[in-house]
Amino acid sequence: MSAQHHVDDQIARLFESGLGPKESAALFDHIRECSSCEGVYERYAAAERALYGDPDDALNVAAIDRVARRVVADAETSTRTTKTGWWVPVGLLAAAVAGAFLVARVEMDDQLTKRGTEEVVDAAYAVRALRIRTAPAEEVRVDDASSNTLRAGDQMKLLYSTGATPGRLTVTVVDEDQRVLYRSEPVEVRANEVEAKLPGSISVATDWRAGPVEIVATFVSADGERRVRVAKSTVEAP
Amino acid sequence: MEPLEKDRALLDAFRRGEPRALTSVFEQYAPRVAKLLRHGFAFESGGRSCRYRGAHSQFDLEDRLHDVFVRAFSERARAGYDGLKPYDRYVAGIARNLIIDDFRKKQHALVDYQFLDEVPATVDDSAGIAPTMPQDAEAAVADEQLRNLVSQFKDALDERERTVYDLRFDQGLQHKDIATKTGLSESKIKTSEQRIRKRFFVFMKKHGYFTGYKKSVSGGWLQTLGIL
Repeated sequence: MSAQHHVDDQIARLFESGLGPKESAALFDHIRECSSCEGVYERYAAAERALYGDPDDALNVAAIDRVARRVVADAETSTRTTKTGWWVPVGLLAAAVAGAFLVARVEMDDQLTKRGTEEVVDAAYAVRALRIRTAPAEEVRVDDASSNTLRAGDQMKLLYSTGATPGRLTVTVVDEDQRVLYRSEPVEVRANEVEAKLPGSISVATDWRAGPVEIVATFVSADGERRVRVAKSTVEAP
Repeated sequence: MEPLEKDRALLDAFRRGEPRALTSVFEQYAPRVAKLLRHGFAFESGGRSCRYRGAHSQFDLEDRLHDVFVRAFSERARAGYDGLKPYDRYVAGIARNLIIDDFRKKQHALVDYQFLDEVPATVDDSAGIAPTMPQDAEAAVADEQLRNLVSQFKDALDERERTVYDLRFDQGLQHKDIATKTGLSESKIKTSEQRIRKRFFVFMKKHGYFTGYKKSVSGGWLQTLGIL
């Protein structure tokens, strides 16, 4: 197991079931010096905050308990080794979310193209398009592109899921006349991804004609299998 | 719960350093100190106005909170508390002093460096994809995914788990208060909570939440007014 994996594993165990005092102290000593591991810690902390649902409190009950165990263990041993990197600031938290958002689940068309004659539904591969709209008051709204309409200035963010083999993903947006409005370069994707975010976003341009559009995601896996998934939306009339 | 200065039995146990008393005092006062450390405060140092901006991450907050109470629970600090003044002010004073001490240590280091003008960022469009979205929108997408996952997880809980979830996770009640409300033993509640937490993190792993995200937390400094 690599050193990074070891620390990731310790952080996971800390949140899942707790660590002993020595292991916990060593882990915290390391994280103080390592912004990457602090990022991992923050990811777990964010999930824990979402689970405990306490946006107004500085710390939820689970975090209070976690710190309490360390404090009382330290008080019981009554010895403190001098920490290196006490209070060393390692970073700022990423920008807070602004504005309210809605999400609607949507059913997507699902097509599978496979070499040979047989078509098999492979639910592991999927694509979903989110519409990001910035309202006049700078409120950012995120909802599902397939159950909402698009207009110039909107952004689309794609989420994809993959099956057991890594491969490449290409995204094309076409209108009802099959005119290509957007095409991405192929992006390497890993196996077993679940709602991973495709880097970047797709801008809805002013020259997109009003009417239905299809967001076509083509997955070509390492073994040559080709799978197509389609999400649909509609461009508003100006 | 009565304040420490009004609960003589707890105060005596606290002064003796009994672990249960320390835990009880921590649970009572940590939330308030955490808020102070999270939101920051202004202070004077060397005749100048300064501001501690607050902890920059949850890790930083937990770490500083730990350090405050390790100091507050030291033999010297426990003996030094007179049991008359409100304890929340006593421990808040310890927190402020720790921050100011830290600032003073760093102040000397800060004058050896200066910030250069930042190099303008270049847009990487090599993948033929539009430039990245504003940070708020990116965070909004991530937040939406997280809420959806938590909602899915909650929907799959059975009745007893749901009860524990509502009282412990949503309302943040202590185990003994949940035991009073439900008639379940404290140990059953703790076990239930532990099981829910473990399943939750496994669920999140399975749904890809802990892979493929940007790991680094970018840097920052204490902000001081009129120092640099």
